[in-house]
Amino acid sequence: MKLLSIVVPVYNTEDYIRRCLDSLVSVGDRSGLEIIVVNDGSRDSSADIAKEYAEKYPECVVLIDKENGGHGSTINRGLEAATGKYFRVLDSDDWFDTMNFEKFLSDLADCDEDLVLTPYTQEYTFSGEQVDYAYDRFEHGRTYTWDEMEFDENTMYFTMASSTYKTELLRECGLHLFEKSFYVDMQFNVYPIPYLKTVRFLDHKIYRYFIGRPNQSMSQENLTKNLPQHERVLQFIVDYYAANRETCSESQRNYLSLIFYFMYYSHIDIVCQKLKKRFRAYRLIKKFDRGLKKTAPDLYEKVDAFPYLRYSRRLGYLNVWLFNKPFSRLIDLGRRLRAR
Amino acid sequence: MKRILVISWFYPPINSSEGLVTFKLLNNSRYEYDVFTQKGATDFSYGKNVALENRPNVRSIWAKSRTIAEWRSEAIDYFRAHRDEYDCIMTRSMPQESHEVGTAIKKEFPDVYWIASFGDPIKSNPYQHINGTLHSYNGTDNLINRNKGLKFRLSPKRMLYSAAWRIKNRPAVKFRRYLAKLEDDALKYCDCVIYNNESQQRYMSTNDKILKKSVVLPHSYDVTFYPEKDTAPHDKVRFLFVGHLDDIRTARPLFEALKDMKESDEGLADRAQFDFYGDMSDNDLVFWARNGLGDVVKLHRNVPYLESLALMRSADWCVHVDGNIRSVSDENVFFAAKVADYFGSGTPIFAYTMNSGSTYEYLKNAGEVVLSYSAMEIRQNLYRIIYKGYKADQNREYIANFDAVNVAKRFDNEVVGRFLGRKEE
Repeated sequence: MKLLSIVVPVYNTEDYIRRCLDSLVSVGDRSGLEIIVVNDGSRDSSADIAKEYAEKYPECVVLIDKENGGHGSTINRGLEAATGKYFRVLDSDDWFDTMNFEKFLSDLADCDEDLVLTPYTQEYTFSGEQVDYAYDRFEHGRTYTWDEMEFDENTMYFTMASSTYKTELLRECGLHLFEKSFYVDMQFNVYPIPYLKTVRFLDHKIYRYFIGRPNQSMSQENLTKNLPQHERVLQFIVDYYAANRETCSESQRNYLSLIFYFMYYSHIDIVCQKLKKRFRAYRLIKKFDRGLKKTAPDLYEKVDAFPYLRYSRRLGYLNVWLFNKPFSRLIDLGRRLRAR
Repeated sequence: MKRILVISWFYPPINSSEGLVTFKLLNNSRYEYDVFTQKGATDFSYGKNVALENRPNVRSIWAKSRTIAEWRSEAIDYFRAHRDEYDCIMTRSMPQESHEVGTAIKKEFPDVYWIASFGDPIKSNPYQHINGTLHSYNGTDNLINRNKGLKFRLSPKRMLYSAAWRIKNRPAVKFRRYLAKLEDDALKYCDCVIYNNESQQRYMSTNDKILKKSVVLPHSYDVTFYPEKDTAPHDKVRFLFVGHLDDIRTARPLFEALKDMKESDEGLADRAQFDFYGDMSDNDLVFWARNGLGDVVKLHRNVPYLESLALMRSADWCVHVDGNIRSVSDENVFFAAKVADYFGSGTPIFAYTMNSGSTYEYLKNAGEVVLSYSAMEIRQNLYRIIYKGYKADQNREYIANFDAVNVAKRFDNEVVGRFLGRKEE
């Protein structure tokens, strides 16, 4: 049995895929590694490059060619094919730090936890800047159970770039991500939580998250364009939380709420601040918030801590439609005064 | 056909990129040239140390003057005195004064065919925008502010600061105007413009008229300048950098990567050595010293051109560094002549540069290792080379496009050929 299966979703990344695959196949001992390259119907030469690697490293690189179905579909397909004890995802425009990855593999061989977490780095290649994301509040090398972990709004949740899950666990939780949808990484982050028992933190920065252009991060147009997908994934998180509320421990519930906060906060930002059609924004937020109250009243209560949402609810969300700018400024001013 | 007069302040034996580029081009051309140059002043160069002899088709005419201003007048006087000997002139920057000579000659003798060959952009050099020597950081003309909105443009505070800067830096403003006029005149009056890369062509050709008369001729290498390759294996991987570094074109990401590697492996110096020949910014030197990189990175003084080529040949990897000018331009408009020399050495190149622009394309197409400014990406690739024995898969067929013989052939056909075609008309 292989130690680690890595799924590399590929879609039109011919400029980057070599860097990504090189960073994996350069490890000294490839025997425990399974690299599953899932070509999501690329229209450039990405598939040919991946094929080249599959031919050169048949012992560890597998190429799956499929029709375009989005990021989620590649992970679904990769998981079906994975034979490794552990499973993780590496996007084809990102890469692993080989030196740290070798150390990680060696440590992973001694692990039996459900989830192994590692810090990751965002690489702003246009400026050469790097931003590290680490789980500093947890002890590295130690195994935690849910009860030993505390989560609040300042905790960094377990991202796709930092997580290595047991393959068996992902199958057990029935992981199946939405196809042709953005934001499926958030789905990936919540699916295994109710089934997760033990977590280990390892201090090897392996994942290099590539940010290649100054304005690569979601543009305003894209955010509003993909709003229905954002809402769909958010709704999934609410439903998943509601369905598993009873079986989850308090820590697990706290953790799921944390992911929900994060996503709901950005949802409010997109709907209430960025959407130009104000009446639509009003209707959307009102509808979603009422749905939330019905499906997960505890989550509804918890997000009342956000002043913007709290006062909007009191005003029946009319501010979103009629006077959002002065209202937001007032809330912001209140927040600043409080901070002082 | 009459001889072509080439006006260039730099030319061998002066060790300067501009002169060497001109030398390689002319000496591989099938036409005959007189090069009006000088060998008295070595300002802005790496000294007078290039032992290269002209081939029979090229003759150097040495000016007596020691300053650029005198040389400029002497060049114009020379042309006046020898008007009948030349129908075509070529001026080569840097320095920009050679184009001033061209403009003066063209205005006086409009029937002379003028080829203006540009090294770097003159009037809007990205470096000058970034270091703020000629453009205020609060000025709307500074490309650093190109993406800032109306709020910035209409800000009274900005206007005030910008006006104060202009008053305080009158000589700089005056010099900027002079440079702008010089480049505009050169591009307007010349009959043919030579750029050294496509990005520069896009950056400098502000209208279709200029674009139509422009040709891109990349810098080249001359295979005859290199010694035999030393095939004996080295006890460690040897990286070589030759040339100029500063705060924009900085070794910092590489040094950061090496520092990080040293922390993981104390014995890095037994596995790899980096030899840096040339200048470096004080900030980089401080970083080098503070982090104890002296055992891995050896710093050396400038060397003569031919010696630098021999060093390139004997290294395992040549290091190329480009300045990150993303704040003022979306693509790298520079193509360093050194890259062509690296190509000629046959040694693989380890480069970090902007991921857009001609240099990036050239290096990528040549199969070299081309990286961003991320210290971690640099470390990653150094690790593969030093510890895993990674070898670049160079595309020699593509690299041959930079061979001086091929570039000169293109020059003969596309530039001189254009002149001959017009003459026949």
